[in-house]
Amino acid sequence: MNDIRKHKLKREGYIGFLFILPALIYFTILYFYPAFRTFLISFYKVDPMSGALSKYEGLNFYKTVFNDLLFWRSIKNVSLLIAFSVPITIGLGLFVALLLDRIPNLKLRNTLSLLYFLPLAASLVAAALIWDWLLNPVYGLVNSVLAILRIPGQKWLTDPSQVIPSLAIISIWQRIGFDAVIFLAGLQAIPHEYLEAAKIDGASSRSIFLHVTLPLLNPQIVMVSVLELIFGFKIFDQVFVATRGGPANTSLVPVLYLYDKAFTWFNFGEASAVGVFLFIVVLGISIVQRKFLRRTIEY
Amino acid sequence: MKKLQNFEESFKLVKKWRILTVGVFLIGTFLLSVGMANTAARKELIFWTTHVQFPHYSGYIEMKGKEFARLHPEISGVKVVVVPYEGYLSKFLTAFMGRKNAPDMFEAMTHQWAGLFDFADPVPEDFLKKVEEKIVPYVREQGMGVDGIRYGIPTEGDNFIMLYINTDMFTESGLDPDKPLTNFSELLNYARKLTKYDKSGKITREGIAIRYSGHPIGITDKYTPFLHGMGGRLVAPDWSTADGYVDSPESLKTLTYYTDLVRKWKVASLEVGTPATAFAQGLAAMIPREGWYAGYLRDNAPDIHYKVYPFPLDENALGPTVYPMFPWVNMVYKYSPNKDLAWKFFEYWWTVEDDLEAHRVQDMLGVWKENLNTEWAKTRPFYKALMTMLENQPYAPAYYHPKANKLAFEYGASVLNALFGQMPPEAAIEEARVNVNALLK
Amino acid sequence: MRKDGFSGIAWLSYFLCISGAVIVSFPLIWMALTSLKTKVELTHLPITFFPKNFLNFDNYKIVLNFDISEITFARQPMGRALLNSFLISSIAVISSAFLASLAGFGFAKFNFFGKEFFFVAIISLLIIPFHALAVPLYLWVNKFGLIDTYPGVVLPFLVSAFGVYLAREAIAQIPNDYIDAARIDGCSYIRIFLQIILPNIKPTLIVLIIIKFTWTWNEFFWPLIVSSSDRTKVITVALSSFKSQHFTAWELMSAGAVASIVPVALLFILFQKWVTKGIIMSGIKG
Repeated sequence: MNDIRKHKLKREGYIGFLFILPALIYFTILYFYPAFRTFLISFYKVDPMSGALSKYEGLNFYKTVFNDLLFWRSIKNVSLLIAFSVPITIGLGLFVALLLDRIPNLKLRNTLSLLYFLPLAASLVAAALIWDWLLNPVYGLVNSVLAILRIPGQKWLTDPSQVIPSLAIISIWQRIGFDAVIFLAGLQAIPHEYLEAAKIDGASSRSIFLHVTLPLLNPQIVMVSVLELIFGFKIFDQVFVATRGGPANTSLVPVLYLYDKAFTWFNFGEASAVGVFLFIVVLGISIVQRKFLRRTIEY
Repeated sequence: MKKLQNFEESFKLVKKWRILTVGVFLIGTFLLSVGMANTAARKELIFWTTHVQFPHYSGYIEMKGKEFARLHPEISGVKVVVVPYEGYLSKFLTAFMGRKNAPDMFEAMTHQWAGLFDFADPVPEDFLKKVEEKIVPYVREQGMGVDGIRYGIPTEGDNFIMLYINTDMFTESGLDPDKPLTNFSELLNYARKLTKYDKSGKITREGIAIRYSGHPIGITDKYTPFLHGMGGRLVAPDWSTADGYVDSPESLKTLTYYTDLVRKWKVASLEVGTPATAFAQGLAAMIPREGWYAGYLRDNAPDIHYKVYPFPLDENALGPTVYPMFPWVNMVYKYSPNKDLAWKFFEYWWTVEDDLEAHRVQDMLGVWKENLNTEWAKTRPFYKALMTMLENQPYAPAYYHPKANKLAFEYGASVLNALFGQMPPEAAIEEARVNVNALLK
Repeated sequence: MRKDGFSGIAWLSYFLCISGAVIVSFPLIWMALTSLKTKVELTHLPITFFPKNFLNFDNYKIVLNFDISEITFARQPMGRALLNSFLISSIAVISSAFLASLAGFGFAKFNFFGKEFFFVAIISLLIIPFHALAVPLYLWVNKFGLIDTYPGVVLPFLVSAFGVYLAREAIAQIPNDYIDAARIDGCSYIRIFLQIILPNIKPTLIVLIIIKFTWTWNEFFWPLIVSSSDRTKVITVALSSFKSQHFTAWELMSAGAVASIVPVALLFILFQKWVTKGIIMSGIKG
C-alpha cells in the first residue's frame, strides 16, 4: 500500500506544482520582480512615466544618499527610537506575561490579556493620533495630569529632545500586548516538573526565575527581540502622521526618508538605493537571529 | 453564544455568520460601486483643490458648475475634490502622469505645473484677452509661466501677509490698537508687552504667532515677509547663486531676529498650537496671515476682536510682500479630454459679479480690477491694510521659477533648524547657502 | 494552580496586572470620550474629563457623512473610506485564504522538483521590507493606469506568504489516508481540496483570516501613495488627512479614529482565542 501511495504521489507531483502555481506567479510578479527592479533602479535613472530604465548611473545614487547628512540623521533617529522602545516593550511584555501567568482564573486572565493587546486593533495611524492628542502640550490629558501633580507640562512631540521618547511611547503602548501574549504562551509551556524540581531543591523564586524560567523562554525572547527590532527599523506610519519627521528632522526615520525621496521629490534612484539598504539591514538582523536561535535551542 | 456547550457548534455558527456578513457586504459594495459608476456615466468635470479651508468658494464653483451644465448637457456639473495639502504634490503628479484619473481642472502653482513639469494648458487666446483686460495689476504675475505665457487664473486678490492683532489684548496691555506698528523693533517691543507667562515661565499667551511646524516649504512662505521687510531676498534675481543673498547681512539679521523671537525674547511659542488656531483661541496677540484668515475668524472665532494692519517694514525693506511665494492659480490639465469645456467653464464665470460673489462667500477679495473698489471690498477688515501696502512701495520680489519649491524646502529646513535650536542662526544660514547652491546647479 | 494562598505578593501582582490593563486601555477610552465632546469643550482650559453630553454623536454624524448639510472645514468622506477599507480587506482576505490554501496543499501533499526551493523562496519574502519594493510597484501600477483604482490599491495584498506557511503546516497534519481513499474513489484533486482539505484546516483559516483582515485594514504606506482621490481612499489615509497645516479638527478626528478601530476591536473581542493563536504563530514564523 505504501509503495503504491508514494508512486501515485510522485507520478502526479506536477499537480502539486499546479496548486502552488497561482501563489508562485503572484509572488514572482508582485514581489520578486519588483525587488529585482528596486535593485536595478538604484543603479539607473528611470523615466517616471513608463518606468523604463534610461541612463546608467553606477553608484551615484548610493554616493548621494550616503553623503547626505539627513540620511545618517534618519539612521541615528531610528536607532535611538529602537533603543528607547524595544527593551521597554520586551521588558514590560515579559513582566505583564509573568503577572498574567500568576492568575489562576482563566476568564480573568483572558479578559486582561485582551485589554493588553486591544491597542493592536488600532492602526498605527490611529494610535499616533490618539497619542498626538494625549500628548498635546496645551490640551492634552497627560500635561493636565502632570499639572495636577505639580510637574510642569512637557512639549512631547513638539520638542526636538522629547520627540523620540514620545514616539517610543506610541510603539510601546501598541506592542506590549503582542509580546505579552507570546511570552505568556511560552511561560505556560514550561513543564511544571522543572519548576517543582527547582523548588524542591530549595531554590528561591528569584533564582528559579533567572535560571529556569528565563533560559527556557530564551527562544521566545530572541524571536520577539528580532521582531521588535525589524518592526522598529521599518517604522513609518506613526512618524508620518504625528510629526512628519519634525521638528527640524529630529524624528526623520529611514522609511520616511525613502518616502520623501520617492514621492515628494521623485528621486526614484536614490529612494531605491535606500530601499536596497533597508533590505540588507533587515536581512542582516534575520541572519543574526538565525545564528542566535540555533545556539539557544542547543542550550 | 457562550452558552453552547459544544465548541464545534458555536464555532461553526460564528463562522457562518462571518461568511454571511462578508458575503452580504461584498455583494452590497459591489452593487454600490456599480451603481456609483453608472450614475457617474453622465460625467462631471473634476476640479482638484487643496483648500480644505475654503469650503464656500468650492461650493460656489459647484453651483456655477450646475448652471454651466444646463448649457452643456453632456456634463452633469462640476465636482470639487479636496486633496489634502500634505503630499498633494505627489498625488497631483501621479494623477497627471497616469492621465486616466487626472482632474480636468486644478488649483495649484504655475511655476510647478507649467515650469517644472508640463501639465498645465495655456489659456486660450480669446479668453486670455478678457483675463488680461480685467485682472487687477498686482496679481497679474500670478499664473504666468517663466516663458511669459499665461497658464491660469489667480484665485485670491488678498493673499499677501498682513498683520492681524487682537485689539482686546492690545488695550489690556496698555497699547493703542488703533496705532499700527510700522517696523520690526516696534513689533518686538509690542510682542514683549503682550506675552503672558505662567509661574514656570512657560508662555500661556504668545505675543506673536509664527509658523514653526509643518512642511519647510510653508515655513519659508511665512518667513519671507520678515526677510523682505528687513531688506533681504532668498536668492539671486537670476537664480544663479545663493552667495551674497542667502548669506547677506540682512538675511542673517532676519534669521537671528526670527529665532530670537522664540529663543531669546520668548514672545513666540512653539507650544500653544498652530498659529491659526492659537490666534483664534485667544492664545496669541498677533499673527501674520493673508486675507482669507478673516473669513476663518468669522466662521470659527466670532468673539475675537481684531484689526488688520500692513506688515511692518524696516527702512531698507525691499517692499511689502505683495507677491505671495506660492500663489494658487486655477489651471486646466493639458491632457484632459475635456479641456476645451473646462476653459469654457472658467470663461463662463469670469464675470465681475461672479468674481465678487465667489470670493465674497469665502470672505476673500476677488481678482477683478473693479471689485477692489466696491463697497463690499471696502468693508473687509483688511482693506485698509491691503491698500496701504499696495500704495506704499515697490513690491518685494516674486519667486515664480521651476525650482521655487525646492528652494523653499531647503531654506525652510534651515530656518527650522535655527528655530528649534539645532544650530545657531549663522550655521543655519551657511547650511542654507550650501544647499541652495547645490540645487541651483 | 499556585497554592501560596492570597499572600501579599499575590495581591500585588493582581493589582499591578489589573491597573496595567486599565492604563493600557485608557487611551482608547479617552479617544472615545473625546469624540463625544464639542470643539468648544475641547479647546476649553482646564480640560474637562467627561463630555457634557454623553450622547453627543454630532462628530460621528459629520465624519460618517450622515450630516452633509453643514459645510465643514474637514470634508473627509470617512464613511466612504470605511467602506473602501472593508472592501479591500475583504477581497484581500478571501484571496489570501484561498490562494494560500492552494499553495499549502501543493507544498504539503505533493513532491515535485524544486519544492523546497520554492517554499523557502516564498517564506524568505517575509524578510523583504515592503517599502523597499514600493517604488517599482508604484511605477508599474502607474504604467498600467491602476493608480487610484481598487485593483491598484489591493494588488500587493492578495496573497500572504505567512498564510502559505500556516496552510502548509496545517494541511500536513491531515492524514494521507483521507486523500488516498478519496483518490481511490475517483475524486479529482480539486474536489479533494474543496471537500477534504479546506474543511479540515478551518482553525488555521480563521487565524489567517483574522490576522490578514487586521493587517490589511491597518495598512497605510501603500494606500497612501496609490490612492489620491476620495474614491479609493481607505480609512488609515482618511484619518491621516484630518491633520492639516493650519488646524486639526480633534473632535472630528477622534470620532474618525474610533470608527476605524471599532470593527477590528470587535473582531478581537469576538475571536479572542484565534487572535491569540495568530499572535503566537506570527511569532514563530519570525
